[in-house]
Parts: sequence; C-alpha cells; structure tokens
Amino acid sequence: MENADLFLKNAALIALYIFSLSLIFPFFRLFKGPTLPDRIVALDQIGVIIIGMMICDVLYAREKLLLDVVLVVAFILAFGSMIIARYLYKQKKEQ
Amino acid sequence: MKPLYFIYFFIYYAFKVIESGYAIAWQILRGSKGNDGMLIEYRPGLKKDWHVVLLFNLISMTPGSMSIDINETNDSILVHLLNRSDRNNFLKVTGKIESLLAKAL
Amino acid sequence: MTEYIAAIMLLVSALTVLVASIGIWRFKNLYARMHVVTKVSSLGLLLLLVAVNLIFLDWFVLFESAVVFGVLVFLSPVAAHVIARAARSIGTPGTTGKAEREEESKEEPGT
Repeated sequence: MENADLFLKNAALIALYIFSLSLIFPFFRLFKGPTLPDRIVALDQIGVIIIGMMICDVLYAREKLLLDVVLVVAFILAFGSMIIARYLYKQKKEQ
Repeated sequence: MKPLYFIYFFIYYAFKVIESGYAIAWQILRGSKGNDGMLIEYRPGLKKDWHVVLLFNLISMTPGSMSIDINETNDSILVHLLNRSDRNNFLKVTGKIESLLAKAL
Repeated sequence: MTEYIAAIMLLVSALTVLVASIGIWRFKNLYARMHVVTKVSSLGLLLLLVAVNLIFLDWFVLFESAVVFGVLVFLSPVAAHVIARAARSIGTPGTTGKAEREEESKEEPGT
C-alpha cells in the first residue's frame, strides 16, 4: 500500500513539472500576440494550466478541501475572459 | 422527457468530447498550422428557442467545429470548421445530435 | 490498484495540456487557437477530475468536481462566443471571412 502511495506522489510531482513546462508557450503568445483577442485566449489557457496545477496539489496532499479553491478559480476564469471581451465590444461601440 | 434517450445522448456526447480532443491533439502533433479553416452557416430545424441555444453550446464540443455567432431570430448559426474536409462529417454528426435532442427533451 | 490507474491518468492529462499549449504557440489563426482552448484543455481537465474521483471515492468530491466540470464545459463555449464576436466586430485579421450558406436540414425527429 505504501508503494502505491509513493507512486501516486511521484506521479503528481512529475505532472506538476510538465504543467509548469507547458506554462512557457502561452506566456510567449501573451507577449507576442498581435491583437488583444489573441492575448485573451492565451490568458484563458494560462488559467486552465493553473487549475491543473491545483488539482495536482490536491492529489499530492490528499486533502479534499483544497477543491474549493479550484471551484473559485474556475468561476473567476470563466467570467473574467467574458468580461474582458465584453469590454472590448463596448469600446468598439462607443467609437 | 424520455430518460433512456437522455442517458444515450449523454454517453454519445461524452464520447464525442474525448474523440474531438484527441483528434485536435493529434493534428497539433503532426505540425499543422491551422490555416485551413472555413466558415459555414448552419440552419437547424428545431422549434423551441432554448433547444437552439443548447445546440449552439453543443456544437462547440463536437469534432472540429466551433459555433461563433447566432442571429436575432434564432434560426441560423455561424460555425467555424478547423479543416475543410470535415464538412460532410460535421453535417452528419450535427444532424444526429439534433434528432437526439428533439427526442430526449 | 486505483492509485496506479489514477497516476497514469494524471500523466496523460498533463501531456494533453502540454500539447494544447504547444498548439496555442503554433497556430496562426485566432479561431484555430480557440478550438484548442475549448476542446483539448477541457479534455485534460476532465481526465484530472476523473482521477480525483478515483482516489477519494466520496459524494462531496463527486459533487464539487461535477460543478467544476460543468463550469468549464458549459461556460467555455459561451466565453469563446463572446471573444469571437468581439474579434469579429473590431475586425481582427483572419476572422472576417464570408460565410457559405448551408441548406436547411430536413431531418425529422422521428427517423
């Protein structure tokens, strides 16, 4: 049983490394992106990666109460990108 | 209103989500640049308004297609396809989802 | 035994999200990038939440992960729609093409 537990912890650590490696590419797009909608999409992907890192942390610590943090971040991510895009649309209308 | 069709619809939809995710992942790994897209305008044959809005959300999860816009009278949806060759497959899958939706709800 | 399955699912989902990030970097068109964000990333998080449910086996965890997955799956198309509409209205290059008309689908619900 301890062997399986150790295997899960190591897998969570390796998954955390892979997630933080994949954080490079959306940041590159965030700096380079020619227009504002490209940057919004890259920000969305960064939020998804951060949610994945939090779920890895839940599995590493075996603490189920940390899922509340994941819920709040998912809501902020979904509504935040909507609000930024809505602002863009309104700014176009006022011109 | 028929729960059996609802369960079948849910399983079909989950299977389509997994299939579309891995299809696009495989296309990324093959080195595609994503330049081959096209826009088409789809006219659903559903009656109620909220069925059309639900179909609008479901199209975004089927393989290679993403819904972009809907007009004011709820009778045509603007869909973006990732590959031009997916067009017949998209029409087939969307017709099946539409008939399942009309049966299940 | 369930720990091994959950660990393998964890690694597969991490690799899926890595592929999605590479797709964000490589694709040239805005709509193609939105395809990647709505589909591939949702698939990766779905696998992660299934792994969490395999480990804990608890009703509370099942309910909460269902809420997280519902937010991600039913709200990310809406967010994509709002972004696409804003991009179309301000005329981002590569997004203002003409649409082809599609014929009305004649499929009856009874068939």
